[in-house]
Amino acid sequence: MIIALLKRELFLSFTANGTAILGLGFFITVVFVSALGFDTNSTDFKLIGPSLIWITALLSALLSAKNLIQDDFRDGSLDILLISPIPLELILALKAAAHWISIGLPIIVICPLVSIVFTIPIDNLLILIIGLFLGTPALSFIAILGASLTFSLRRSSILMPILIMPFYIPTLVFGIKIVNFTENTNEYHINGLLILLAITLLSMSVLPFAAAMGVKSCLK
Amino acid sequence: MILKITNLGCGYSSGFSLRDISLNLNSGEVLILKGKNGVGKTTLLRAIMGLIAINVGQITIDGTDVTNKLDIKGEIFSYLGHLNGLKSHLTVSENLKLWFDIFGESNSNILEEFGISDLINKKVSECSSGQKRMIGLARVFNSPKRVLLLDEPMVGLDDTNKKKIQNKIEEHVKLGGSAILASHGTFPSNKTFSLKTSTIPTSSSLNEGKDFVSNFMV
Repeated sequence: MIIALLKRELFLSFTANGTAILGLGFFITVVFVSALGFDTNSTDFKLIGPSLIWITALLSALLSAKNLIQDDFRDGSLDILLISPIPLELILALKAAAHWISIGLPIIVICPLVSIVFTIPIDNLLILIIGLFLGTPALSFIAILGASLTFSLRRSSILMPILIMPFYIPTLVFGIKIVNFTENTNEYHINGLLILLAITLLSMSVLPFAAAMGVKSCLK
Repeated sequence: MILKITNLGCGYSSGFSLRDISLNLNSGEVLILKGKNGVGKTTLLRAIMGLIAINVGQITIDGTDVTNKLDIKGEIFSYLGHLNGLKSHLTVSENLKLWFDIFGESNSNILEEFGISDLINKKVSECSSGQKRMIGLARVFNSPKRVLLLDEPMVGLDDTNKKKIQNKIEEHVKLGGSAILASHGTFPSNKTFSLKTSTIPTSSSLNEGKDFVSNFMV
């Protein structure tokens, strides 16, 4: 049943809703178009790359977050999911996991290609990819919290980014800083990555419960 | 099996509420919820199902308290609300397969029984509202639980399909199941439960001015 639900969410993301294609398309377009606005010969250009990749990854996650629960709410699927044998907390965790697989994972896969534009050194690219791998799941779990609080509202697309953006800041700051540390030592990198991992683990363990409370509250 | 609801009270944050709902339902019975639009039939069904929290009162099944226990209720009730829970951009078979897999059900010959097997490769967006309702009902009747909670199940159905659903409910009841239907239409049933609105007395400061619903059994 749990696998069936994960399959459902992935099926809807990759085929029907087009969330995955939309997210990846947005990521590639924004990164490339933004790169056009900078002087490629500037020394700062290499530093801008990781920041831009992280910010665009965040916006991609945010872009598709609105539909995480709202689509199911509008067509009556949410009621059926609620009476399924799967606990609501697990349903929401699986939705977040599917969101990461359909948005976060493709971004990580495409990242080496995108980084060519910014001529990011290979060491930094490795740190960037590991950072994205450890940090982007938190973006999806934060997104599910935002979606759970706003799915019943008409103007959720405006409210949700305002609501959850502050929660994205720690992941964003550490994700960018570990690549652009002035003291480029392994110790700094490992500590930064561990903090990203800690944020993700905390998000995964706490936010599905908070989101479940949000869903129940919105149904009142 | 006896479903017993005692002094149930629940409501939405908007102010609408149900109060003092008490009813019994035995195996082999069909209960029809009657009442004007907006009186709370859907709210009552959702409260029984556990989709909205019950503030006061109790729901028991065979003496076991299941009030606000959605996990237990999911094993006892089959529910279909106003909406059919279908993704319009998927085909009928894709929609049903997603639900059957999540509920761990095997695909019975329900589509053939309902005469909608020719729709399986059709996108839901291309189906009529009556066909969508039949697909929603097919999900429920593929593997019905002991108590059916159906909110206006006959809406949009033609006479032939109405008869099919009526027969299916009667068949379910004969096998020892039971059903609660919110319906404006006619349905041969053992029980009717009417809901009517009234206003809380102004002396009640807490709920002043809010609508609530009283009820009576026929």
